[in-house]
Amino acid sequence: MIELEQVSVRFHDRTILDNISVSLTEHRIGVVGDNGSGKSTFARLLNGLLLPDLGTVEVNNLDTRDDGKDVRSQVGFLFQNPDNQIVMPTVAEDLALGLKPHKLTGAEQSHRVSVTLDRFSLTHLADRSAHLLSGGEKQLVALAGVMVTQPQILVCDEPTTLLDRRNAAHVMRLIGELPCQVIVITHHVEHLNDFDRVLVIADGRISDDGPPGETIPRYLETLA
Amino acid sequence: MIVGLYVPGDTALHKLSAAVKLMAMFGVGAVLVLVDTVVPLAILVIGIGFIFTVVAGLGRNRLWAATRPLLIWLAIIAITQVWVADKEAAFEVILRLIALVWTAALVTYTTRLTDMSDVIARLCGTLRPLGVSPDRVAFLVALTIRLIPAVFDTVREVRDAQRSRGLERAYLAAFVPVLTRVLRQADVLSEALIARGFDRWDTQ
Amino acid sequence: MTARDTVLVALFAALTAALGLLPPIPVPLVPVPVTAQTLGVMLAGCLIGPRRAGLAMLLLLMLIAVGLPLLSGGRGGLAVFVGPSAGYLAGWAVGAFVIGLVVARFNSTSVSLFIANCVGGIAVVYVFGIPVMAAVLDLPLLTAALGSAAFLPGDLIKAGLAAAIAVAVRRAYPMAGQ
Repeated sequence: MIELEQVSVRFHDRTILDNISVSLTEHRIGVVGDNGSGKSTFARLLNGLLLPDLGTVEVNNLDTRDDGKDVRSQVGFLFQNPDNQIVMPTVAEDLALGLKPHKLTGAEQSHRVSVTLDRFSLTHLADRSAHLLSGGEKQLVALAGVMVTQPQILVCDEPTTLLDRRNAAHVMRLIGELPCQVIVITHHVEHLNDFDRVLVIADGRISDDGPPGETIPRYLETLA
Repeated sequence: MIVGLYVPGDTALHKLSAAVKLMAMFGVGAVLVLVDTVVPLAILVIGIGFIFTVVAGLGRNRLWAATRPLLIWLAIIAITQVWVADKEAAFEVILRLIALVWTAALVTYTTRLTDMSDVIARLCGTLRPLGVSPDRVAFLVALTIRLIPAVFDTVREVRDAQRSRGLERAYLAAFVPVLTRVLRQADVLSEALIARGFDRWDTQ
Repeated sequence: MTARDTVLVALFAALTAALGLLPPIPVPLVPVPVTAQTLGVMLAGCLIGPRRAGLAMLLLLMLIAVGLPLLSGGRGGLAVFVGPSAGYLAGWAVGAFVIGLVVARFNSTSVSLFIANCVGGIAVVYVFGIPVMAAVLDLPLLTAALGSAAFLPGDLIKAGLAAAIAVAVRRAYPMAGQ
């Protein structure tokens, strides 16, 4: 559960997010908005990568300001560009990297890695160079690298923007099937139809909030 | 993908531990400094060349590849030594240089990247009192190996763009975008490292 | 080291390796090839601070030593550390550090960056390079120094180029070096 209370973020003299209060408890939550609406900033608040200038963000009652490390151990984060998220030369090594803080034995670690690879159908890529993967494969590896740590919450910042339609649908289906709470920032609204709740961010405020069946049509109307 | 200089094989030299090979290299270096007559040096060079090509099975082509970068230096030695001293001295310097470079290349060609890295990490471990963490060094090595092909691609793209515009020498115009791209990538990468638990790693 | 330090060190080691791929910079009237690789040493010193720049070069040298062919012309391995140019390589690490120190002392105009590059990227590198070359080739120090002078015009051009690039990059990306 994530709780934002009167959160504002400013950059120089520009207000990015303006007095947002919201409680995120549903299993699958989508966040949509135009470029520059502040939705990426919103995502970064949820695991303490960014701290609010005003207000508080609490994850399972931990304040991101005081307990950033503990918050990040519970909140996984999937970035838009997997090239910047995969930091080890090969796929299996990259998955193992996320387990470093868990202090597992070598056998436990390789077991967790192989189970996770298997779950995302990546076993055949285990020893491949990350640089030589396709865009879709890279995003799956990045997702597996987050999920291997078994986070309670997964935040995704435009996870499908750099993918073609087929890979985008595949990645979103896998994200939607995850048992943990997922919060997906995206402008591909068609992937959010099965979600439990959709927030619309415009000009740094939450302009709409509700089930996707109601909010998405209203959002698409504002684009017309 | 970046490929190391290691040549796979299962000769006695391949099986020797990296630390032993490194110590042997220093040993050869010490011997070379002590020997200062042409004939024993020439015998040593022939011996190392034999170990290189036959015992380690690296062949003559690789021996030539290891020697080629030295040719320019050998020419310089030949010219200056004849001018400064005498032929005998020139031969000594040339033989000593060839012996040392062949030995070093022999170690590199017969030692896996990971084995060599382990030795270096162990050496870094002795610097622990100075705040060096072998774990962090190993991570830096892996991260750089991951980033090299990506940065290569960036530089190549810019070089090709230059060429297609006929600007073979527009270094200034080309490098500013490369550098800003690299610095921007640094921001995103460090954010991703933190999201993936970098600040929860034990530095011990 | 913070995450940002770690990433910058790795990126500038990778960048300097990548610059070895570029064709040599042609310099009028100079017969020796001028590789773009030492540009990486100077750019690191100008852009990411003394400690990170020095570490980036040390890291690159470590990768070369363990057997990656990352020097211009695809050279690498232990052989380059026992050859005549070994001292210049060691000079890269110290030189990048010194450039960073000089840059931190002065404001970053193109003139002061050029001077920093000349001090760290040329003088310091030569101070390490020339004696080692003289020792390996068994030459008098003065002869080795005179021989190295052939590289001076190319290195001066690179010092100017690196200064100009760094000034432009700092303007486009003011966070550099922090």
